[in-house]
Amino acid sequence: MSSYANVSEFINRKFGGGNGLPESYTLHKPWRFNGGLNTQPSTGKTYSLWVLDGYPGAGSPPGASMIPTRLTPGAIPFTAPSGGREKWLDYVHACNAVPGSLCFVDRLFAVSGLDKLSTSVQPIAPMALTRYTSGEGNLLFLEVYSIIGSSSTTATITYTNELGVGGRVSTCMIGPNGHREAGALVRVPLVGNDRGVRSVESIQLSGSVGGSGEFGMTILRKMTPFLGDVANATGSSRSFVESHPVKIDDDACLSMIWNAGINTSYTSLVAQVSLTER
Amino acid sequence: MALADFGAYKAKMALPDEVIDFVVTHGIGSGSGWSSNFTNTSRAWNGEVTTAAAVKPGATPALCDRTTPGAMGQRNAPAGLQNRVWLNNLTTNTEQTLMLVDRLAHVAGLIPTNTGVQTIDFPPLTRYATDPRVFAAVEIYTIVGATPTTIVMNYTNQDGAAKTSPPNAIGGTGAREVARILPFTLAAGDTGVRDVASIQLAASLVSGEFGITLYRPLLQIPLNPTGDYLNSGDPLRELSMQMPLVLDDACLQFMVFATGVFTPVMSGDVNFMWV
Repeated sequence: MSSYANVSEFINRKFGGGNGLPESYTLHKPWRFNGGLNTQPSTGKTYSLWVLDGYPGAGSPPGASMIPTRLTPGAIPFTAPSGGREKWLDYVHACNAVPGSLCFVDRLFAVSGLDKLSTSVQPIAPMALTRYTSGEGNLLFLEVYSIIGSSSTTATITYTNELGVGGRVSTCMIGPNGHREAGALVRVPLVGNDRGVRSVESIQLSGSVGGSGEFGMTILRKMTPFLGDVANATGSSRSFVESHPVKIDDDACLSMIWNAGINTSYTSLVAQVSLTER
Repeated sequence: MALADFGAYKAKMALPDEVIDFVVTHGIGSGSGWSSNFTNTSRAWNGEVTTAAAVKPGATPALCDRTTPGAMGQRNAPAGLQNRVWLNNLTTNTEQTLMLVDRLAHVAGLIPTNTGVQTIDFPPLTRYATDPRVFAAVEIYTIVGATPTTIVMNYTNQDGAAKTSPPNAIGGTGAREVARILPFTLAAGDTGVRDVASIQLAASLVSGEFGITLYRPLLQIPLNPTGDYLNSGDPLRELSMQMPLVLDDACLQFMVFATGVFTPVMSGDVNFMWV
């Protein structure tokens, strides 16, 4: 199914015509984790808002390898389309009291409970993606679910790229500030001319990260561009009417990621998403 | 009834079925976050101002509707028609995000020095009773203590299950001022609130008065003091046709998100379309 034929169709569906079933959700994610203020973010670092308290309530560490879906607790709620229709995202807005940028993502794969103290190769139980299955455009991250130790450690990750070629090897750091707090997302750079990730095969740490806490690996898909600088209370918005709306998979596990523009905890990040069916 | 096309949309936009002009001044004080204009004395719907004393909720949990003192007071659409809302001609003196909400239920008179369980139990909601997008928030009516503490909410979630929220911040700069709105965070995986059974403070707030408000966000509009196109509120061009449905008897009010010490003044028109 393609996007809207014209503005008239869009207007009609936003009023409920043609079973457009428009819905809009307000989201609220203060910088709080497990009932308390989260460790302050580091400037320029990326954070998943998955485990932060808020509306919706916090998501949980996945544990064993899993494919998150629309029904995974912690996901931004939306009604699954029916009648052969598709779901389209047509508007987002976010505001915060501190500088930073926000992006909406689909969580495609997640695993946690990796051993942060071990230097052995840790295989990741394979699971075939159910969305964006080729892997092209998919991003791979280390994700921290509760604050871990501070020993700077090199993580060597092996993944399968968008062509189905396995054994692709990349490295990133875990442990420094910005790479250890609850919610920290550490991007795993793709190697060579790779354009995406189909699966992750293993991880090996060069040393113990130390501390307590939990981390894992997540494959994400960006669903929107980053909303730039949502500070100044006006925030930032993006209407997709003039470009084209973003198709959301029926089973998308929608969440948000935050690029911290300053190393300051914030009290309130509020966002709005609007979706319609076609 | 859905508008058929762009022509029908233009025709209805040219002649709203009801227009309510507003002027609101907030004087919330320090800190960033959300504030409610419900009990703000410097608020006028079509020129009518109600005193803060007249609109402050009582100590008995109560439902809100369009006749509740402080509500915008719009008319219901005729039978068989839907009521859709949009804002335009917006002006402001400070950057802010304006939220239009349907205030569903409220209570005041919660005791800031009581660290025991304070029972609430709202009557069953008459709007959005099973909607997963209802928020619960602390609303502050008299400034509370300067020492931060936390508050938990025992509530019924979107599925009808009894849950307890994580501890939420209350008290201290940004979480103590009059008119401050502090939305509760929810238990893991929850998406909304149907009822609040009780709340409990972790420590005394020493003084002041606060309450609990249930509301359903309808519209969120970024405002800019330079008066540029952002403030047009044009639903099609700026908001991807955000023209939310206003249920019969909705108790409409504004909430504002702003930063720092500010006294935001904003004005504009609230327009209604019956389709």
